[in-house]
Amino acid sequence: MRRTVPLLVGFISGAIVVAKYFIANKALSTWGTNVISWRNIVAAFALGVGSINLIQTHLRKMARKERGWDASILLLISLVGFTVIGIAKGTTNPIYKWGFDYLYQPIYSAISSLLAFMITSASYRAFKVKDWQSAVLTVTAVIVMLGAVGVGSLLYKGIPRWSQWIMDVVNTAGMRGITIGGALGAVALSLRVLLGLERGYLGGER
Amino acid sequence: MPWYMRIQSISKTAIWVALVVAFAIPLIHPLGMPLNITSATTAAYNLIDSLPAGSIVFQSIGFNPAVDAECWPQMVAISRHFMSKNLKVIYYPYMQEGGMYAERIKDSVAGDYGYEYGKDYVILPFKAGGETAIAGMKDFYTLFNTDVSGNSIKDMPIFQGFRGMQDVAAIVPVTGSDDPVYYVRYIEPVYHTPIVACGTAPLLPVIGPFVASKQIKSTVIGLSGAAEYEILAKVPGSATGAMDAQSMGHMLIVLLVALGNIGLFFQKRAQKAAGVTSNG
Amino acid sequence: MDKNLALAFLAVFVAACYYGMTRTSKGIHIPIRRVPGLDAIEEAIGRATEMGRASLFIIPSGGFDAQAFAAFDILGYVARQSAKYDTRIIVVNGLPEAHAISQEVVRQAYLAEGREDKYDPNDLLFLSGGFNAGVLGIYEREKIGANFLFGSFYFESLTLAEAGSRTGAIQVAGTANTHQLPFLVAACDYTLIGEEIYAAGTYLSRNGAQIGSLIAQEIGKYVSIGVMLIGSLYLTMTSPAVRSLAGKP
Repeated sequence: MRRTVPLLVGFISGAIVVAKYFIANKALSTWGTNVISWRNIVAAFALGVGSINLIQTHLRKMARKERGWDASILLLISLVGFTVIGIAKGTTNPIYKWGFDYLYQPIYSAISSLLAFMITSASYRAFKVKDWQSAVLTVTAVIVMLGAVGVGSLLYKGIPRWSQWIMDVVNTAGMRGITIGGALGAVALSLRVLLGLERGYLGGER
Repeated sequence: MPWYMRIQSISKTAIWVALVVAFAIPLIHPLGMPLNITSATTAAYNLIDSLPAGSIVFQSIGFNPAVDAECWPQMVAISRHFMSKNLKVIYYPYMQEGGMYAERIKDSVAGDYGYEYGKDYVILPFKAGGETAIAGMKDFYTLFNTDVSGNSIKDMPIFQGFRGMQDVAAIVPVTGSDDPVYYVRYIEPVYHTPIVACGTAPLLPVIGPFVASKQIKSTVIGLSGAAEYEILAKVPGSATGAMDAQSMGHMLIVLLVALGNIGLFFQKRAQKAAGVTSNG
Repeated sequence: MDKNLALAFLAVFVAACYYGMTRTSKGIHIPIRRVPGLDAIEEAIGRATEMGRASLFIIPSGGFDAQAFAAFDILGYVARQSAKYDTRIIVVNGLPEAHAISQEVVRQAYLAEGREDKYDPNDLLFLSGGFNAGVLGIYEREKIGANFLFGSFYFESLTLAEAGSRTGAIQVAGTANTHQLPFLVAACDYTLIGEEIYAAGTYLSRNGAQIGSLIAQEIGKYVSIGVMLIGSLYLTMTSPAVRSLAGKP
């Protein structure tokens, strides 16, 4: 019963949404839209549960004065502050906007900018010509990198054209294959979930 | 340690310092490197430029601060182009942060063109669900009945006579996410609305098949795409100035790859000369 | 027209699933090729156990989609292995929905191994917007012996994988987001590409009915290849260049 009801609810919800896509019926369309809306409501509640977990984790860290507990104070102040201002005054409020423009966005961008450093060291390590496949990989990567910026045309005027050809023909062909395979895999997994054959998200088989 | 081993084991710290220097040089002293205007960006510009004044464009904002270095200059350049052409703009935040970027356009760009909120442009609220929200856009007024501030959209001049996505002249997602693919799945087949996909460089492999099949009409990709669009639309911005730094970064990576492979080549030669069997 | 085609394809797919399940239920053995990444999971956890280090499982904030469900399957397996070897497992979620589910998955895994006393809910973390920074902090603070990255990754994939490689942990990753695959392949020891992540649950459980759906995937691929070949031939034969060669207007 404890597993059967969730599986049944999942099957019916999924079946309604799939049927809504294929069958032009007003009642079905309304039910389908409602089911999709319920998903958003559940996601919102899950966000609440996640936020509570976040607060609990950091309060515990502060109470035990674990390493980095002072950062937890900042986290909780910003979490509560942004939430209160956003709900009370809306996201178009000047204070909320200030927080986004001068706190959230610069910090998030700074962390994300680490990607540039990571990609440089990863490329240095990964692009080693050990056999013909890695030679093709390295040469292709160099052409595309140089073709993406103006310096490529300074070195040789054909580089941007070659780069475009690699992206339009070679890359597109490969991506098509992976995308089709991935899409089929997603359909298969979704079918297994709908039919109750895939129970990993419920904690697996008993 | 032989020199060919040293150049294969440059420390990460040294690499990262070199990268900072490579970025800093052109920012302090611009190098004026050339920029190729690609056919893709030109096609995107021409498509927008061909829209008659008063047409409604739907700009989906699917990026956050992680990728706004590429996407924000694109959004500014394209928004300036929209407004210089007197196009009506509906901004839709596909991501939570998207609304904040639309607010920035409102505060810093719209006023330059005398654009009035509610009449010439509007910012819709974020809808959770990502792909499911886009799928629901076929019932436009079921999904949206207020703007981001909670004002009813039915009374807004921009929505007078607007039936839904069928009245949109072009969909222009600016994104670091997959939303162009969702517009191709759910909106393009029904209404045949042209899609101009703008976004980060890694987006191109994802949307490449859809561009080849003409489901996405054109693209503006990466910081270089933003710089190209700024030049085409004659709206100088931050992207053009940053391209020198990007060029230097790419050149450094190519140099490091070359050094690593030169070292590997001479290492294998030395091992062969010493009669050592190399496993590669 | 598009919807009718999609419905027809779905019908073929469902029929192929039924066919596959029927074959497996008759006890017919269906060989599945090795997926090195999935085989390496047990090795990775064993190595972490020997080194006295924890395993880290990352489910990113990319989206609550089929990839998240695939990640739960793998998480269940990793959690069971961790419970069996008495290795600490830290689970980091970028999505609140995933966090709620992964708590249950890990708890059930420990229960199944009879090690419910070892289950520590404090090791299951929800990191929202500060996901990147949070994981980098975990790399610095905790000693990680095995790093698992599964789900819908975006820009954070290379940052996490490259920083993870600096810890010396063995890394197994998987995503169906094609734009992040090159980064994960470059930085991780093993990478599951595209559909391999969706087949992971089936591969690890070897459940007969689930293997039937893998057969449907293969049939679906053959149908796609066939349609692409027919379409390509048709377009080639009717192209202006070929028609002019054949002397037709």
